[in-house]
Amino acid sequence: MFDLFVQGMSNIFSQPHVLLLSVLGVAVGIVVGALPGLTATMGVALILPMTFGMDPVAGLLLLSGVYFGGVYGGSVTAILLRTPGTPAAAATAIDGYALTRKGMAGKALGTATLSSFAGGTISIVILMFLAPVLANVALEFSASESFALAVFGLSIIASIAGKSLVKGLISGAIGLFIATVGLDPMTAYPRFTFGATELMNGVPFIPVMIGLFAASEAFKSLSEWGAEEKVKAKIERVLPTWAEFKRLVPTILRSTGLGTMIGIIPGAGADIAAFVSYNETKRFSKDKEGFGQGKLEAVAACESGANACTGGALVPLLTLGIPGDAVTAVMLGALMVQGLQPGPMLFQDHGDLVYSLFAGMIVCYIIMALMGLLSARYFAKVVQIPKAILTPIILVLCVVGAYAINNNMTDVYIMLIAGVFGYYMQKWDFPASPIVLALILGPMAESQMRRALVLSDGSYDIFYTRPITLVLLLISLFTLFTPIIKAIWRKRKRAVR
Amino acid sequence: MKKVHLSIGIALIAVAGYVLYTTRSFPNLGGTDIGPGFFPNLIAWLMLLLAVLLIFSSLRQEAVPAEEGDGAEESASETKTQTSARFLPLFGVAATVLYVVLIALAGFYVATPIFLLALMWTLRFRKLVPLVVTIALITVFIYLVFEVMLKVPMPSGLFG
Repeated sequence: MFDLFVQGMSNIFSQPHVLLLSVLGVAVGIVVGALPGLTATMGVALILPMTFGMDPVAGLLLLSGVYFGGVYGGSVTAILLRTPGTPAAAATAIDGYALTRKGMAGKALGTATLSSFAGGTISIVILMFLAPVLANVALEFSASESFALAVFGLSIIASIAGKSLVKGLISGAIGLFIATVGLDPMTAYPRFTFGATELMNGVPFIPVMIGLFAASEAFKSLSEWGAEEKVKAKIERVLPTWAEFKRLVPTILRSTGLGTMIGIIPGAGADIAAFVSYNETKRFSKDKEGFGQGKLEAVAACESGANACTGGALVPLLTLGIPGDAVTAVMLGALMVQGLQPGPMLFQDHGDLVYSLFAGMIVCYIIMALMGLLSARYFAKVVQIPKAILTPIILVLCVVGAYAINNNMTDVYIMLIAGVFGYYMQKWDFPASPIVLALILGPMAESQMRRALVLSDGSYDIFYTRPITLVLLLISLFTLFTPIIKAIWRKRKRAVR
Repeated sequence: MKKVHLSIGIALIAVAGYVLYTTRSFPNLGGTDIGPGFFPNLIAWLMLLLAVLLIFSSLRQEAVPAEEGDGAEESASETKTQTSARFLPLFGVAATVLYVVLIALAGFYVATPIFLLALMWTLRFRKLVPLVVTIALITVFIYLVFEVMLKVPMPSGLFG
C-alpha cells in the first residue's frame, strides 16, 4: 500500500496540470464555502460538468479541492462576520466571532486553518488504511448483500429528512419513482417513458443534481435580498504561538477521530461533526464557562471535526458505492462520469488511480492550509460580491453545465425542471437530498434484489438466511424507525404534559 | 402551508394511482423474476401511505392550533419579506425559462448576454460600464472554458 501511495504522490507531482487544478479547486471551494448560501455541494455540482474532458485523477482532484475548500471556507466568514458560509461552520461562528470581537480574528483564522488541515489530512490517512480493508470485505458481497446495502443507504433518508420525517420520506419516494423511469434493468421493458426516446436510459441524475443543489439555491437566494456585509476586523498575526498550538493538539486529535467516525456513518455530515466535537471538547475542558466567550479550543474542535468528516464520508462512497449525503452523492456522479463505478471493484481495477487520488487529496489539504494562512483575509472579501452579479452567473453556469454533459438541450430542460421543483420543495420544507440518494440507490436496490431472487430461484429465504444481508437489513430497519419512534415518544410526552 | 400540504398529498395520490394503474399492463415474463412492475408498485403503495399521512397530519395541525409554532413562524416571516422579495424568485424562474427557450431559438451567445443584462438590471446592478464589462467577461470566460478548453460547442440556435 505504501509503495502505491508513494507512486501516487510522484504521479501527482509529475503532472503540473493536476497540481494547478487542485489549487484552482481549493480556491474555488474556499470562495464558495465562504459565501453564505453557497455550499460545497453547490460548488461541486457546478464544477462537475467541467471535469468531463479531463483525465480521472485531474478531474476528481479538482472536485475534491472544491469539496474540501468548501467545508473549510465556511469558517472564514463565520469567524469574521458571524455569518457561517456553510451549515457546518455554524458552530465555529460561536467562539470564532467572539474571538474576532476580542481583536483576535487572525489567530482564530489561523487556528481554524491549522485544525481544518490536521483534521482533513488525518481523515484522508484513515480513509487510506480503512478503505481497502472494507473493500475486501465488500468484494465477497453477492446480490442479496448488495441489495441490503442499497436498502441501508436508502434508510439513511430518515436521518437526513430534516424537520419532518414524512416529508423526507416523500422526497425519497419521489426519487425512487423517478429512478424507475426508463428501460427496466432486467427485461428492458420501457417504464414511464411516455414514448420519449430521451427517457429510455432513465432520467439523467447529474442535471437533476445541478438543478436541485445549484439552480434552486440561486432562485432561493433571490428571496433573501439583504444588505451586503463588510469585514471590519483587522487581522494581525495568523499563526497561533507554538505553546498555544501544543495545547490544541489533544482537542484536534479527539475531534478528528470523532469527525472521521461521524463522516463514515452515512447521513451524518460535517455540521453534526462540528457540533458533536464542540460539545465533547467542552465536556473535556476544565474551563467550561470560557466556551462561547471566544476560545481557540472551540474553533479548533469544530473545524477539525468538520473537515475530518470529508475523509470519513469518502469511506462508504469509495468502498461500497453508498453516498452518505448530498456532497458525496455529487462526487459519486463525478466518479461515474469518469467511467468509474465506486465500490469494491474500484480498488481491484483502478488501485493505482485510487492511491493517486488519496495522495492528491492530501496535497489538496496542504494547498488549503497554505492558502488559508497566506490569504484568508482576502477570501473574506468575497462576501462583498453583490448577489446581483453572483446569482445570474450561477444560473448561467447551471445551464451551461447541464448542456455540456451530453451536448444536448434535454438535459438543460431536466435541470431547469429540477431547479424549479427544488425551489418549491425548499419553500415548503421538503428536503432535496433524499431525491438524489433515492435516484442513485433505487436502481441498485431493484436490480440487486431481482438478481438475488433469480439466483435463489425466487425464494425470499436469502434475505434472512445470509448473515450479512440479515444484519444490514436489520440495521436499515433500526435506522428507519429510530426517528419515527423518537417522534412518537416526543408526542406522547407532550400529550402527558 | 396547510393548503399546500393538502394539494401535494392529493397530487401524490394521483401519481401513485397512475403508477398502480399503468403497472398492471407491464408484462411479466414469469420464471423467477418478479417483473418490471414490482418495484414501481411498491413505491406507489409507499407514496400512497405517505400522502395519506401528510394529509392527515396537516388536517390535525389545524385542529390543534399553535401546537407546532409552524403557522406563527410562517406568518411572521411573510410579513418580514417585502413584496419585491417575494416576486423576485418567481421573476428569476421565469427569466431562466425564457433564457433556455432563447438559447434554443437564437443560440447561446445571443441569449446569455441578454439574460444576464435582464436579470442583473432587475437586481439593481445599474452602473452601465461595470455592467457591460461584467457581462462580457462572463461570456468570454464561458467561451474559453467550454468551447476552447472542453471543446463543447454551445448551441447556435435555429439560424446559426
